[in-house]
Amino acid sequence: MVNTFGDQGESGVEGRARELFEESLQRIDARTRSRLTQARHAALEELRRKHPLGASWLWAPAGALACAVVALLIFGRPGVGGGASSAPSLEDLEAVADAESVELLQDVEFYAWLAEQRNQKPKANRS
Amino acid sequence: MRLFATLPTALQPMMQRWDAEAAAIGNSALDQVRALDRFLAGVEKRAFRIARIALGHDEDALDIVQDAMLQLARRYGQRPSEDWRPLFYRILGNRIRDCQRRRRVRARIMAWLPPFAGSDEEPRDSMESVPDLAAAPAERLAADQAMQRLAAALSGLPARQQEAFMLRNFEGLDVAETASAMRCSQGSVKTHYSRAVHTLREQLGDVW
Repeated sequence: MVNTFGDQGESGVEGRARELFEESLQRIDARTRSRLTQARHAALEELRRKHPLGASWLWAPAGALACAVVALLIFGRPGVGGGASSAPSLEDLEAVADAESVELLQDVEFYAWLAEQRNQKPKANRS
Repeated sequence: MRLFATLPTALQPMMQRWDAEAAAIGNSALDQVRALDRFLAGVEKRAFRIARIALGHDEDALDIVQDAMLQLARRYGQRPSEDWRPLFYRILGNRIRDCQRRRRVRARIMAWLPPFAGSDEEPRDSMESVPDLAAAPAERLAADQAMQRLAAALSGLPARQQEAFMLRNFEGLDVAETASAMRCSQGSVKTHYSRAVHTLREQLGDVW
């Protein structure tokens, strides 16, 4: 028998006790087994309820859509910059898309500032 | 407008990245639930037997195991699965001690009250109590009797010795895990366990 009790060795009473315990597990009645299964399912439900499976990420697509709408409103409205040259480039959009946090992407003021910076750039280059 | 053409293309990598991350998080959470299911399925019967020996009462043992499972999921469900075993038995041990304490208080109160006839236990369906008949009747009877003697001997041990013996011997926890579950030093675990074995050997014989 494998000695699981360190260097003290194992007496007959220890081995017999474990053997009886293991055997007794097989004789647990159906009602108790059923109650234990129900208890386990309740605990798993608790884990699912407490830690939803990535529920916060369900908002990510909605956030992206909101970003797209805000970007359209700011960059796409007539009069901002004016002319074809004011249309945002892929680099501009990547600056938005690569932002790390959803909070930042949802910040309307950030897009307004980005648009303003872009509009000021050509003037600065001209001067 | 160029914008309408470029916007979906620009957002696509971001959406794909979010989808991948959401899937990874979802899978990881699902793995955690499955791991907890496996863990609880592995310990539920053992925990019930341990609580039953400590308390001598089926319903109390079931309630305590159920509560320990819920507490583990609620408080430690996100912890690595390697941590669950000592944590689960620590919760179980605490619940057993709470129950024993409540009983002592109740017994003191009941001693002051007039005797009460009747029981609040629900009647049990006799068919539900039928055990698994895998073993032959004579062998099963002998095993039942031996287990009853062991349970009686364990019930007579001091609580800490009983706990150390059941965690080490029945559950196979090592000294460090048992110490963590019992919130005591490893030296105390060894002492409690050694005394428990000594007493059991005296009462039951080396092999009974």
